[in-house]
Amino acid sequence: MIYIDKYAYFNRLKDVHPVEKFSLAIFTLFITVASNSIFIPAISFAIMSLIILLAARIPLFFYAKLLLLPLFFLFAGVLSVATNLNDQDMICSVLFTGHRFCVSASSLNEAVKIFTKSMGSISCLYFLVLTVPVTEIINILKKFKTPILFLELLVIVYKFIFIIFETMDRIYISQKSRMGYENYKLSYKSLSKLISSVFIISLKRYEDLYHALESRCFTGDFHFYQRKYNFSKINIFVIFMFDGILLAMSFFSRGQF
Amino acid sequence: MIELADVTFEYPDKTAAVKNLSLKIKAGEKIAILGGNGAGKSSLFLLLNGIHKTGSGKLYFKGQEVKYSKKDLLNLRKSTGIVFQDPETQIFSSSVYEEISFGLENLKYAENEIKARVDHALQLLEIADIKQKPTHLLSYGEKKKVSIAGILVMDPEILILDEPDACLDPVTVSNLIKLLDDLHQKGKTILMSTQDVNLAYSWAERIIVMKNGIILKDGLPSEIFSNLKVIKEASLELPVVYEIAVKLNIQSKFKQKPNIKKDDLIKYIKKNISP
Ligand SMILES: Nc1ncnc2c1ncn2[C@@H]1O[C@H](COP(=O)(O)OP(=O)(O)OP(=O)(O)O)[C@@H](O)[C@H]1O
Ligand SMILES: [Mg+2]
Repeated sequence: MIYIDKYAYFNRLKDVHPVEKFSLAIFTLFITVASNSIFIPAISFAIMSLIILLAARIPLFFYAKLLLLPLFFLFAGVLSVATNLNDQDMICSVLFTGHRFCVSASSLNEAVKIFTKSMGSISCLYFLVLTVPVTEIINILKKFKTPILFLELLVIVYKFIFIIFETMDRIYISQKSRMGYENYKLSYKSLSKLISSVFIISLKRYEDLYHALESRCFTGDFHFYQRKYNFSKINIFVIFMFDGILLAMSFFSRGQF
Repeated sequence: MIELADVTFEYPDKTAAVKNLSLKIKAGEKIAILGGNGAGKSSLFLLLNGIHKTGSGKLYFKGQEVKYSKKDLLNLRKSTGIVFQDPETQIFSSSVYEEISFGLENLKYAENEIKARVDHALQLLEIADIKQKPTHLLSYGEKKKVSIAGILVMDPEILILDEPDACLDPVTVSNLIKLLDDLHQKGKTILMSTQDVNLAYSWAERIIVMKNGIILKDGLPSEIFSNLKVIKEASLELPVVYEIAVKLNIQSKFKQKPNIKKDDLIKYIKKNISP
């Protein structure tokens, strides 16, 4: 779970030009977010997931686990959109803790829309993260003249997230090997210790890492080694056809579905 | 080449890791730094690289005072490569190739030059077969080799290695030492900290013994090891060969020769003891 970016280096699409993958993800993402239907995001989700699973060969189990992560937050959000207190034109309602929670046709429609849109966008982003190494994303953003400060921040935040996860993993293993999670009470205690120390340790590790960067003449501007890739005419054609059709569909179906 | 003059350095929590320390390193020297845990070796190295700023005292590089301006620091760091004690703190990139080329990319070398140098370093450390692996899946020793390669490619004039022999298998260590000797032959200055007195004795031309942030003794290997008080105080021990020589009272036969090498002792023992 920690090493999402491992797949960015070892998937079946690793030799495809990153700009192609980047544009597919970004264009589809824009169309998905901009569309006002349920249908378009559903197509994006289906196609992106198929590419992730069949073309990039990311294990199904791993991808499912990744999807589960945002789903958790999404359900809470969708639930609150779908229900209103004491709505007039409701379809059904639930009495809960003395309040009447109602679901109306329009709120249900809104909730489903948000749900599909989120899943569609998430699949686009996962496609990007799982098939393009972050260094290539930086290289692409650099070509678009993104401010260096922003890029440095991006890389550092990205790295810091991994450090936090890694630190957490290490502390957990070390606690577990010393019976830290034998019963409920111990688990509770160990977990609280883990949470309190993970940030302190991560900060120290980050500081050490930054020293190591500095000692190799790092001055705030990341220069990453750029691998040679070849553009594929077929890929570009397919990407444009796909996004073109998707765009046309969302254009002609405005509000229809 | 590089010089610390009366330098004191404290960490933010007031631990004085280096105290009133003066040290002069000349070009082409081959120095081992010995000292127990917490002696201040790693802190000293970070001072030499301008990562830590001297609290009091001054740092000179090639006769010029390092003023910690951006230009000074870049100039210093270009010429002093430091291999960190813990490769985990040094390794930043996700792929081995990216990691090794990181310093070169910062110095804006041409792409084909970078490739040639990285390939050469991969070969020197015999890690060409793991070049495709993501760095976080490597074993600790492999990480260590990658971190060494990442510095070697930058071709620094002064090479600083913080316990490079820790966690490496014996063959790899002896290959690494051969590599360092090669670089030394080519005129590089090499500074290495280690816990291995045998290695220090056979490899170094000068040994610095540290404890509690100060230099206990600085001199030729045989000077260091003939001073038992220092050895004891710094929680070190004698190199095996030297200890045998002391037990047999051989080293006293070398009165006129101040710098007794490991090979001298072995030769002497062979000549006098073998039937
Ligand atoms: N970031 C830090 N903050 C505060 N104190 C520190 C920090 N890093 C090191 N120290 C302290 O500074 C002293 C010198 O540490 P240093 O890491 O230089 O020792 P060392 O000689 O490299 O030891 P070792 O052989 O264990 O690597 C130690 O007492 C240590 O506790
Ligand atoms: Mg150390």
